[in-house]
Amino acid sequence: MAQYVSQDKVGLMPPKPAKNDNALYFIGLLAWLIPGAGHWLLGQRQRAAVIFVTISTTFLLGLALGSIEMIDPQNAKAWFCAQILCGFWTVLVTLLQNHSITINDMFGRGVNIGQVYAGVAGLLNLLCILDALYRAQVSVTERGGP
Amino acid sequence: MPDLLLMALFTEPMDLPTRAISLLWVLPICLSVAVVYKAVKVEPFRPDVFARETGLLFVTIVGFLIVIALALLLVAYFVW
Repeated sequence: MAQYVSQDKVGLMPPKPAKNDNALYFIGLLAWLIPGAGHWLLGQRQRAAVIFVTISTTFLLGLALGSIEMIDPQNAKAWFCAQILCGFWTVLVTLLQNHSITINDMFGRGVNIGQVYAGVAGLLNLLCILDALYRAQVSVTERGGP
Repeated sequence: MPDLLLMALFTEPMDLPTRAISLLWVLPICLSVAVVYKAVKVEPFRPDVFARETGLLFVTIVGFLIVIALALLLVAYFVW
């Protein structure tokens, strides 16, 4: 009895099974890679579809506004940190780029609103990743599995 | 041919004039923020509730942007 009281006082939780931790990591990784995929795995299909369409549209609109060369990990590091949160979209665009020339050299101007669009899309995906992880964690603690 | 047009869409930046009309480009991004935020927040997810909440948030964001723009305009008017 004294042992239980002691555990309650310090707020100790029983150790969770390792497979639940792995599931959380998997959900987080997939939610980063494909916007909305975390919610899709959790069975929230409508929510996932809305998230995927909105974030992808915002990112692609940014690309249309500023071209694929605006994703610039060398000269726009802060923006790139936000844009990389879009997962496979950013990775795909980075692979398709012409790395021998900067956007400034190519078009005679620097970054524009397209960079803001792509950055905001990434930050919105961060919100969705955190929400998917929270929902998965709640599912783990309430039912013992996501 | 359509694939070339699609490539051209993403390989050259759009020409955005620095005129007042370009401020309207803030509207799509406000809509995106409203949609994703409410997609995460609305519980349970029902399309009618989601659409209403998203519309309300979008109007609120745009309304506050207009208020801030007017305040900055007043500051500029009285300072200069």
